[in-house]
Amino acid sequence: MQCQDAQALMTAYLSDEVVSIERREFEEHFTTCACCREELASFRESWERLGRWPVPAMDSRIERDLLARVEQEAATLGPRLRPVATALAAVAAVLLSIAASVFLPYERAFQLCREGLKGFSVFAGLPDSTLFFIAGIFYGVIPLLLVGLVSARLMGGAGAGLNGTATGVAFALLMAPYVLIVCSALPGAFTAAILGGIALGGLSGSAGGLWLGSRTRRPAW
Amino acid sequence: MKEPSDLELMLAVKAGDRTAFEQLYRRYRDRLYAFLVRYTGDPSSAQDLFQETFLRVFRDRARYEPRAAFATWLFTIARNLFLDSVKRAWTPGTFIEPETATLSIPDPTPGPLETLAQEEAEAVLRRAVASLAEEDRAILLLSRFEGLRYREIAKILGTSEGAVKVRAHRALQALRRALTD
Repeated sequence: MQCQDAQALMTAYLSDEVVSIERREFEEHFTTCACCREELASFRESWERLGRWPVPAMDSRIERDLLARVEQEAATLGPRLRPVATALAAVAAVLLSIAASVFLPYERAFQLCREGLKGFSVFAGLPDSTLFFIAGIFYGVIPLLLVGLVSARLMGGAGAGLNGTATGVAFALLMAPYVLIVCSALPGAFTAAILGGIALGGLSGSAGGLWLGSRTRRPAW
Repeated sequence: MKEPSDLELMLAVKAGDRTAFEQLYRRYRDRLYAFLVRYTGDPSSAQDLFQETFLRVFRDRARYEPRAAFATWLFTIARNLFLDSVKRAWTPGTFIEPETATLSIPDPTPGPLETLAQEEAEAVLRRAVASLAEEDRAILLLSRFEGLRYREIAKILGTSEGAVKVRAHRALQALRRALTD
């Protein structure tokens, strides 16, 4: 081992980070090199001096305050309804869902559903209202999944279930007038089926989005 | 009875066990506080960061993943909080100078001259450590006092083990220079 290599390893050696062969070579070098021995002694002195640095005792009030704050946190950290965030999330989801229905009207989604499912024997003979229900799910689940993901990343995962459910319910209530107007030409059973699908999709999409978002949120640490 | 590991305790905290949190707290209290005092150079800032760090551990307990050791997670939080506080309140290059009167003395009955000499020695050391770059200071303190391995420190700093090794040596070289100047 050369002096330059040995000197580069001195701090690692003092930290017990030099192992096996390298450590042996390092120690062998010191038996023959007085200059490196001296250098290591000087490093060791600084290392030891640093290690003797005392710290003041912590004020006992700090501990009391901290544990009291933890107690307080524990009491407030349970699932908590966030009305403003929930309302904003529901409105955003409504806008997304309406935009989706403009690009792909409900009747067209129903037809796509019928065509897509007719190849599967298990879905053969499903009544049209069920197909409207299935089509409706997409208008609920996709907007709420997106909104839930964003909300969770912004506000954290606490109360994901509660806030997700509240957002889903608010979304379904806000969507109802729009669906009733847009589907006024359709039989009532179909309108109800679409609305039911949207509500179910909204509830599951919202809870799922918030849950997924809280799992993937970048931690503060 | 066998003491529960950090991981076992943290998983219990995650499941809502506050006694486990207190156990973890007592296990790391002195280490974290000492690290923060040396790292910030200021007992008052250290106390604030100490509280915030443990509060953050408690708040983020649901997101704790046992991929890294608890100590690594704890010191990562502490360092990030310190960096945030620097961004918020400090101008670059400033370092809080602690009141020397608050420093404890290891010998319970030193004479006045001895006390003065010790205080002076500590002040020199404190200034020397304060003169190091933030990352170098963190590496040196985590390695020297916390006994963390370079690979663990690399995780805390979000860098490679090789980079920690190089910086640790550079930090000790700089400290040696500062102590002998």
